[in-house]
Amino acid sequence: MNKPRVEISETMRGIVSLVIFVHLFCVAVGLFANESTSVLAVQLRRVLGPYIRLLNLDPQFLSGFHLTHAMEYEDHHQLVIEVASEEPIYIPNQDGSLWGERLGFRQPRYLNLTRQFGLFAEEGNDQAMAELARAIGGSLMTKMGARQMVLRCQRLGPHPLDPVMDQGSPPIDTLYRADVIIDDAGVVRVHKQVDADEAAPVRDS
Amino acid sequence: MNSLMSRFRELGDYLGNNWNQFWFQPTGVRDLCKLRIAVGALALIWQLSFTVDLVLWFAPDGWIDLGLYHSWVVEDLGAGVENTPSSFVGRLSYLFNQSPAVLRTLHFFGTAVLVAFTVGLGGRVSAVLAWFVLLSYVHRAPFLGGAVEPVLTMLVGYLCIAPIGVYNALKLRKRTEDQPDSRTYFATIARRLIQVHLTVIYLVMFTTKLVSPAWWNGEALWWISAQQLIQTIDLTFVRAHPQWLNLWTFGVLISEFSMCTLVWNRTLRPFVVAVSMISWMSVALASGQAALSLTMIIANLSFLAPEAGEETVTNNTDVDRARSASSEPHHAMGETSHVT
Repeated sequence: MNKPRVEISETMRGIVSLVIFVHLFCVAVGLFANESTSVLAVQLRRVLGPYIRLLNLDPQFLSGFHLTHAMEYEDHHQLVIEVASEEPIYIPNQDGSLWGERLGFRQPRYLNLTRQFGLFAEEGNDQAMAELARAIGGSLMTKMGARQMVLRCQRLGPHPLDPVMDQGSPPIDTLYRADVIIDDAGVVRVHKQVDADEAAPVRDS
Repeated sequence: MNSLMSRFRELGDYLGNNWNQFWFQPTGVRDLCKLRIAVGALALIWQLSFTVDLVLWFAPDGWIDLGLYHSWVVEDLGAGVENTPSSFVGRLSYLFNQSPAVLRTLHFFGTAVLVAFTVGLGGRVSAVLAWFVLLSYVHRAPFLGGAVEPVLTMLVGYLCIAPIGVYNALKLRKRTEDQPDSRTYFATIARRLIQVHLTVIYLVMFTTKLVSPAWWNGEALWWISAQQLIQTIDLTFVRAHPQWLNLWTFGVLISEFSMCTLVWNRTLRPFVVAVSMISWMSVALASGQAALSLTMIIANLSFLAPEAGEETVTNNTDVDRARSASSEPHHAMGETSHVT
């Protein structure tokens, strides 16, 4: 067998080996430390963060890794937009025709968006939820010519495995509900609805 | 003492030689070019799937405006609190704050780049540009992405390393398997990085499942298939046959474990990859996530390429012919041709 015409030098091999090792270390940190709360993992992710995110090695918004848990946070979430005298808009909806084909790439994007919204709702991150409610509300109301709407985020539970428990309609929990209003100045405002017990008392001005 | 030292030296030499053979033994490019076509086509479909929602998502008054991006992405990383707001958080995209017309134009150019990458025009340049296009969409709204995006960007990113422009789509069609192939250690590095990275992904998937009761109990596939929004088939019949559900769930687990371990055995590899592909197809059936399953099946193909030393190359005229018809630079660094 003839020798190769161009050989990689020892020095170059050493450098490339080091680069490969460091890169694979970053891959492992990005994937394994995603859910870890250990101090070391958090510090490693912070230090290596710009690199692993730049190359998309960090599934920052994936809880665990998709298809790995089949647990609560993999339930589907749905946004419901209610505008007076209009049929409610479901995002995404069941047939997938409006908000992305079911088997392709589009509908999973809507599902990921609403799942992230649902996670924020469960964390009680009102600021993050208000940002999306404002953005979606402003966009849809401008399109529909409306000045007020209600936005809900609901979690759709799976059908139970036990047939006795299956009543035909699986559980639906409302996680967030807000009024989205365009005020006289054209600014979109979001007012989260809360239970009467949580609301501040009305004061005489 | 000397005996111990020589033992360590032998071990060091053994590991070093294996490392060098694993990463630097030149291998053929043709299979990576075939993989490029599959990955490129997938990336193209992925990017085109943004067309309908492009302005809705990314326009300045769209759903994912800069306020939402900052709130969901930058502040989520703590950059707005612990660092200065302008700290680089590793997200770069040309789709930020563009008007609808500019967005559509950039989208069109992105499509053109991915077409060039898929058919093999432009060699590494189009590969790097294709990678940049994909990352731009991912970074513009990372929370829209699922498990597909990290795998897809990984595949395109590593394909940038190999001289995948040596064979464009037309050349590949004309060539038969008994013709010699271009060999380079760049191809080996690219292929090995894909394989090792994929193994780490499978390992994470497998180990994460180990802490999940649904997977331990063998019921996980039910909970995936019983979601309300994506139901491709009615699986209620498995309620009467829980053992089939258990078998299915554990089968998926075993196939993922095999993809971390047994796939490295040369004899078992085709069988393990075939089982994994069947497993992903069954998962697509249950979850409705056909795109994810297709991506993983294509990624699995990286294991079916011949190993270093398995190929027989008779001469290098084929390489020169291939190069002369491609845009790859002649005798790119590290490309070799063996005569056996």
